[in-house]
Amino acid sequence: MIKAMNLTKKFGDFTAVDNLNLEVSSGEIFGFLGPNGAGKTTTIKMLTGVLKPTHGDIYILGLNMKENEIKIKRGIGVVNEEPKIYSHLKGYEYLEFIMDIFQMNDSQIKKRIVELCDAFEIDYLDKMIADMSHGMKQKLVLISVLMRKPKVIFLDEPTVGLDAKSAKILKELLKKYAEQGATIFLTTHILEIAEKMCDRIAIINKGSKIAEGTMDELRKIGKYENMNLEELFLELTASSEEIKSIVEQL
Amino acid sequence: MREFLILLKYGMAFSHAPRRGKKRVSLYSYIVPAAVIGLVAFYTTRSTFSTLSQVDPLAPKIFINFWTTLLSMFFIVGFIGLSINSFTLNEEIEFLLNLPIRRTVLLFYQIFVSTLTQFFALFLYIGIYASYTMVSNNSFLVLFKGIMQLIFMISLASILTILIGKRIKKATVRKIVMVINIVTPFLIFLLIGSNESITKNAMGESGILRYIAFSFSNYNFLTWAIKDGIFPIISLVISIIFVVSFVFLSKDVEFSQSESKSGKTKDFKLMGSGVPIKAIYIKDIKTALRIDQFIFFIIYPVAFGIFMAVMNNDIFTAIFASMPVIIIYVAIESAILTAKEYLYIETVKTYPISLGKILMPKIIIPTTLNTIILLVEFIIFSFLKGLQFKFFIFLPISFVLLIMNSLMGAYQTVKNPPKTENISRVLGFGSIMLVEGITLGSVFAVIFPLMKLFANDFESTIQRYLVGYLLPIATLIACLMYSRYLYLKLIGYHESQ
Repeated sequence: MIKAMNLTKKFGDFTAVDNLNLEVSSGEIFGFLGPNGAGKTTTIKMLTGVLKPTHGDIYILGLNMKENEIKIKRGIGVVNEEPKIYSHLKGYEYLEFIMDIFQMNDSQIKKRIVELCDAFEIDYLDKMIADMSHGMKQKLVLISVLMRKPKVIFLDEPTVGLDAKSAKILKELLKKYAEQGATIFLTTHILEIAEKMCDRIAIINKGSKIAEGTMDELRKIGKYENMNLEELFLELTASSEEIKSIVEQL
Repeated sequence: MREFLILLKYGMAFSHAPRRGKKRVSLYSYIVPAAVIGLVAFYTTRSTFSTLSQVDPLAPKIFINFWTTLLSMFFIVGFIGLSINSFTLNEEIEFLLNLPIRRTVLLFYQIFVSTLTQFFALFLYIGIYASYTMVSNNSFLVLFKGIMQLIFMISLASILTILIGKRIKKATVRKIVMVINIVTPFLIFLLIGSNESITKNAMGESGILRYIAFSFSNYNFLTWAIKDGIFPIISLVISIIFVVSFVFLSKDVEFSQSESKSGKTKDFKLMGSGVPIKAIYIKDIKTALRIDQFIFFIIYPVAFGIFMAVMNNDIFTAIFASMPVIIIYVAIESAILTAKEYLYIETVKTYPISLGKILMPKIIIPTTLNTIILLVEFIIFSFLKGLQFKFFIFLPISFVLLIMNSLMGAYQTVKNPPKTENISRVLGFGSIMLVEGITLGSVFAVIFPLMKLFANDFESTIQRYLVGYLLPIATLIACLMYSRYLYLKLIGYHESQ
């Protein structure tokens, strides 16, 4: 479903993503982790067609990104970390816009919007987006993606700004969609979420992938037998001794 | 004072954050152009004041009263419009409220920033007043009165901001300011026009002195500081009361609006056509109608055209005064719509539609709207004033220029996309100068030769063919070629990213 081959992105002399290879199958929840500035968002932007890679190839839904960009975009859903959506539209106008852009205008989708609004407790669709809080906008974006039931969903820090109930509903919904065959690609700094939800995890640091596998496989890589994901992540991306010494100096 | 200076040093960075890859926007970049305009005003009005003082010793006073009234109104309206927004909860204020800084200092800082935003009105006034000072008998006293006038203007605008800002919704403020901005200049001139007969009786036939009836009146409190007698003292006392009241009221400023919360969700029905292109156009039309600045740029040239027609009783002056304004403003309208799209570009790029199709309405909507406005203007003038049919040739010509300018506005915005929701400076100084230069150049090269051609005003046949036919045709071809170049650059801009 998602395949990245030798993916590289350079901004001038700076290499944000370096020769990255990824493969995510249908029905899988894939966690993409890394410290700040590791290249997670740049990777997602390339996989969703927002940024063009300097080198490498991307295949989504079996289609090459270079040749089928629009077709791929029609089949995927993207939830960015920042819910940047048209502030001069009302909530329901934005949903109408998305329905039109994705050429979906049947009674089924309207019914689904109502169901999702009930689930996420959205009763502010007549409000201007400019007047909505971060969490309200994030829920609106989630609905605009989930209403379409795309086969591949990319989520960059999806729970930021969501209340506990909405975050829980989202997590359960993503699991349900994966069981139904959808591919979920998510980044998060909340390692507990990744540990509980993801079937497989990749860790990226300074633009390069440093580990990939299931939780059990990751533990075996460095012989971190009894570690949880947070301890493992820190071992791979920073030195525990370094953190200890920084805290002591403070 | 220390807190104020710190805010000034670091706070300005928030208001004028540099764009990607550019140096920090210096305060001087705002002061220098305004100061140049002030200097130009000083030199141009110096001779006027000198001539007027020779005609009648009272005339320079009348002239400065008029300019004081006009520019005070511009300053106060502009100041209130901008400072009400900055007095309310924006990102910068939210951050500053977390810091150990007194609210009064925050307000003085906002007052200072709002004053700076009115550089052009301020420097224009300083330039005119400086030349007035030179022809007056007691320069020192006149200069002192000028300073009092500035204090009065700022204190009046500040107290109005604090009083209005506490009670009014942000959206209402924006609408009021927009209406005032459009109406003010016309209102002043209409007042002047209506007082013409009174003025004639008092001061004779001089055109300039028609202004006396309105601006020289003792009831015109905007000029009390520069008048003779007891008025400057009254103005000073009022200014002191305003400043004291401001300090007193500033302690309770909440930095928030009185926005009403709707208790109940209104009923709405999800419609939609399922047609992507239609969706983009509908979305952009809604956006345009909801942005006050956009409506302002549409209405202003129309009002200007009507005003010119009323004042001059001459349709050609009306049409050819409003046409370049419309053509220049279309670039800003396109830039506003493009800027609004680019604020969300990372989300937009995930939609299954090409960027070219997303950007097209930003050219089409402003161009179509303004073409319709011109068409209606031409039709009305042909019925009411007997505009000859041959003048309708200016419509397709304007259409070409409108498309070129729309593309210029959109391309300049794509090259320098905005970082914040604030679209008050959607096109930078350089971009505006480029748009104005190319527009005025094209208008002069196309419209004026054609007007001369219609008036049969050429001295020779060669001149008639070279200037009357060749120059407009060549200019139009150049405009079309430049439009094509801009279109390809615009569409291809993100292909290279």
